[in-house]
Amino acid sequence: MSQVCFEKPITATRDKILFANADLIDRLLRNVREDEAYEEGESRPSLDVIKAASLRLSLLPAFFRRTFEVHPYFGEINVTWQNRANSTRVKAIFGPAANSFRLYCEQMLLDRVTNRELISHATQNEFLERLVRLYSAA
Amino acid sequence: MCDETSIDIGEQLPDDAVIYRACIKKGYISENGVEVEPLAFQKQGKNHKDGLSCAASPEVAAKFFPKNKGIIRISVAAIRAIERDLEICFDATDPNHILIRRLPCMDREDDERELAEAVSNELAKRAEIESTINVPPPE
Repeated sequence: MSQVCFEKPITATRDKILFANADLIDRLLRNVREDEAYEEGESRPSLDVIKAASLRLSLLPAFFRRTFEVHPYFGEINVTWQNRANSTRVKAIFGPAANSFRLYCEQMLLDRVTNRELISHATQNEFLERLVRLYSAA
Repeated sequence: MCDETSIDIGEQLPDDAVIYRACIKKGYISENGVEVEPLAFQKQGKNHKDGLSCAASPEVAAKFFPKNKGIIRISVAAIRAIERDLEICFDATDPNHILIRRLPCMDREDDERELAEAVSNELAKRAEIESTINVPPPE
């Protein structure tokens, strides 16, 4: 497993959550560390952004922890869930600022985006609610 | 939108033209190799001041980016069909270099970011895969 290095002490609860989700964090780190995921000169996500993404993803129910795709993007970590059955997707955007967390939610009809929303400063509850809605929408 | 430079922008391409874009990093094509991802059409304003670079042929796309991880293509008619007011123009200094202009940028305000996410997905849905592996530049 890849080593996660925290420069500041974290709470015991967070520590337990992250330890229990070592596979998820390993997957996140593998994607973020891959040189082929970056253009020449593209900035990489900071350790603080990686930590924030790890913690938020670790708090999700198991189904959502297994079904995402990760792409680093100019200092951000973009994590996407798609429901192809109803052409909807939710993208969690971590960074590039350490505490920045946004959610982009979208629905398409006939390959045209008919509903979209970018939620700034999303809470963990909103995050979970949008993911549940992604798989429950008709 | 964030095309800050309009120097050396040539005429628009006809509807029947097809343009090509090199995959300059992983993630432009889905992991199963069958779909183009929105990432392929996402633009940073600070890096693409004249528009999103494409090419007139796969060979030219490979020449621009020899270390490409594949090449995708999209017809000009398909780009115009999404009705997002995009322009597809020749570079006046190089007829092999094509620019998609008026694309919203990912690194601006949230409103523009939201639109950039939507437009990139609409373009990705209309794009096709030319090659999922490196296309070497012509000898």
